[in-house]
Amino acid sequence: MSSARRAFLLGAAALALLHGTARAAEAVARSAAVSEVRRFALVAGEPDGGPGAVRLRYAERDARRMHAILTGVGGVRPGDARLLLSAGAPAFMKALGELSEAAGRAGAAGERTLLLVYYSGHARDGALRLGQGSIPLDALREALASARADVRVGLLDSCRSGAIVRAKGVRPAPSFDVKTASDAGPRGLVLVASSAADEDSQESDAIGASYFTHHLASGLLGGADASGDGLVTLAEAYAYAYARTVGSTASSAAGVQHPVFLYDLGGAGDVVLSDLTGVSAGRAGGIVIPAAAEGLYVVLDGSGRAVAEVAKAQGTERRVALPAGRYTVKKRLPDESGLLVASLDVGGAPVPVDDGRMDRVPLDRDPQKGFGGARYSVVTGVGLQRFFDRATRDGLFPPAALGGVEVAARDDLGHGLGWGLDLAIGGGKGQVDLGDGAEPLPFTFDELGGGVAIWKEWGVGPVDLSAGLRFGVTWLHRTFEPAAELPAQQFFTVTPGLVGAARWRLTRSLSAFGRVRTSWLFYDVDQNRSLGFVEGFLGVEYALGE
Amino acid sequence: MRWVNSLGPAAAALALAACGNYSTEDVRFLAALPTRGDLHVHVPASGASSALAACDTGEATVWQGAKAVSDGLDGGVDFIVGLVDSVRRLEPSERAEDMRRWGPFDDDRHPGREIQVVITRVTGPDGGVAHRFAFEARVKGQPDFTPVVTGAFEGPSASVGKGSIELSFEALWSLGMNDSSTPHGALLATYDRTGEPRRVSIAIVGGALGLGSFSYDFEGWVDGSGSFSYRIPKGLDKLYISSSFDSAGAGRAAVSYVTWLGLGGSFEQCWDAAACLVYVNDPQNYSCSTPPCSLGEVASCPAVPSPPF
Repeated sequence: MSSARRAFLLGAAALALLHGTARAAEAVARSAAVSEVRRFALVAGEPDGGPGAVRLRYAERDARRMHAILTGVGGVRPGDARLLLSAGAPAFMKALGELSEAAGRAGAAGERTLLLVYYSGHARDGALRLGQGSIPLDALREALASARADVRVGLLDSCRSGAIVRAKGVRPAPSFDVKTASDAGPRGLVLVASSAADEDSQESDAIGASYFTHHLASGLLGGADASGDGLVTLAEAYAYAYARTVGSTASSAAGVQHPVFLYDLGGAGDVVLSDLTGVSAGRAGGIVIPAAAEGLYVVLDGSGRAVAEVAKAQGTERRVALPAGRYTVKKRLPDESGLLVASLDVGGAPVPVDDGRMDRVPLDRDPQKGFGGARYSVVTGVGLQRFFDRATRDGLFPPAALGGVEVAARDDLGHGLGWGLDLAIGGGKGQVDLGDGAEPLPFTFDELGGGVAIWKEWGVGPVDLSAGLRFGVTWLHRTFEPAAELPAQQFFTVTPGLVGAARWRLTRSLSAFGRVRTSWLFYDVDQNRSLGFVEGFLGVEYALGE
Repeated sequence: MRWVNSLGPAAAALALAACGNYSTEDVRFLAALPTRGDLHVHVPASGASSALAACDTGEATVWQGAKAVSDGLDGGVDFIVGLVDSVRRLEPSERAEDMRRWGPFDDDRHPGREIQVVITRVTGPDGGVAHRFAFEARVKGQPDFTPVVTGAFEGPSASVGKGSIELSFEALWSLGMNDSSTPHGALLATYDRTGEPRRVSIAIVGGALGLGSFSYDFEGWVDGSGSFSYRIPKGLDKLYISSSFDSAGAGRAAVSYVTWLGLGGSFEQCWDAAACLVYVNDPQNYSCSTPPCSLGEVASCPAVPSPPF
């Protein structure tokens, strides 16, 4: 029996027991509202695993996502949370120590406390790898075990992270004694690892996250609330993340991935990780999937990227907490004949998802956009440049025709943020008014421009809209051919500005592309002048690697 | 607020990032300066030398001499315009609304001297534009510049304006910027390109360019025809030539002369496009070595824009 298989069976057995204890303590769990426990969270994303390790694409995004959930429905006060992105091992241990001390002080003041540590990154040879540094798993476990919080939860999303539970082995939690410990609350340590000690944890370009974190996050947002009470317990979250991670990776080339855990809790009640009761009561935004609904619902943000998914069985209503915004919900039809798609505006109250009111679309119109493949693209096209000031346009900087090429990296920075490098060349003709009845002096000018832009992208139906900032440079050169004795002139300056674009996907690789830029130009030769100009650009975008 | 305070340095950094000579106003200043083409006298080349040998009636010596004189004057004009043109290759050192200044620069050819060029623009009450040009030099350390080339140009463009430009060789001597070939005196060129005909006058004062006191007036039409008049020494004699020619180079000339003995006279010549004489009226037989010089009929003379007779 392979160690992965063994871990799976052990995990499943423990899961069953964990479920049992969770159900037995349901009444207590209901009362253990998130707000009754002072929560502390250390969330770390570390894409760099040191020499020889492939840089992880989504470790930081995973961390940001978990941080947002924990400080949202997770009940962690922003001041009690630490988000570390590529911060390294010393910063990690320092933050852990600070939060432990803070939890100790809160405990001394009579508060019940929970310390949650989440890590997304590399692990190898029995240690977390944070850039050039490392933290042995034994040391991390000991640090958590000795942390001064009533409940310590470690969530590790990294390769072979299951080794952290191997020393003691996976064992079932002690049964809750509801009667004798009803007011004491749970105490102890829970460690959850995304993969067994001999397995790799996998990232997915399709969802833009690691499988485990994606499903854990979806569970915390409501997908895991199997009891339907609006509280997602640790047991529910683990069960959901386990089942969905195993299911998602079952057919992957890297092999199936089995999350494992160490559960060493005493006291009464379960650990509640997220509170969706606000959605139930209509006080908070989100979606509600009715009890009769069944299937896999995927919630996409404005950029078409998955923010949550709910594997729903008939029987209980399921709520998913979401920040205010416009979302697309899709559901694959059971016979694979198409998709049901609906756009929903989430505000301050939950929005129901009704299969009967969703649009049926063919599979090739899937609104979900992956993070891989189409990340990089090349745009080429032509455009026009025109200065706002008429006097400037008529003499100094006449309208110009430009042709250009651009390399874009979409959603490369997380949060739907992309960036691109552009280069354009063009020119035109103009004339200098010499005044007093003299013939205007014609000239020909050339222009070379380039820049770097950063933008945020939103999906609106089949169109992707984006808006952002650009820092550009421009070089102008003009000659007065009829008056060859006049010297050629040139000018170089910076042109910061704003950029907005729309992209209409025509095929898998090809999109129609339109863009408008407004830029500022500082001219200082004749006199100091702030000038503005607008550029329109039409072209095609070719997605690389898709 | 802190971010507001940081805008100043940011704007300054952006300003420093801008550079170049991309200036429409510079173009307007430079367009007012006359070019070689504006000041050259356009006397057509006389008939090919091989054709001259075939002239049965003799060659038009007045016409041939006029071409040589005009070429020499164009050389003088080139010298002046070369000084004026020096600013075209350089970016102004100082820009003001109605002034451009280049320099002062060290004069590489004359150590211890420095030069500058200043162009000022004056707008008259009627909106007309005039420019003043000064190419100045001084001995380094001295406070004042001495004008070497001065000019006054009316109109926004020299190609359709009028003006004058004077080169003072004496200034070069006084500044110690002369060399062994530097003449004395001054060269004054005026032009008027505001309409037809376009006029160029060149006067040499004080023996500059070895021509003694000399004046040359030229009128040119866009079709290539023109007229000119000038005084020139011929040996010990002095000649006053008034000529006009058509676009093909055929023309008429009336010449007055005073011999070294004080005797005066005149003759008339007409020639065809090959510079062969078609008519000569020279009762004193001054214009040829083998009398009689007179030949042909006046009816054979070409029509010219300003017939001297």
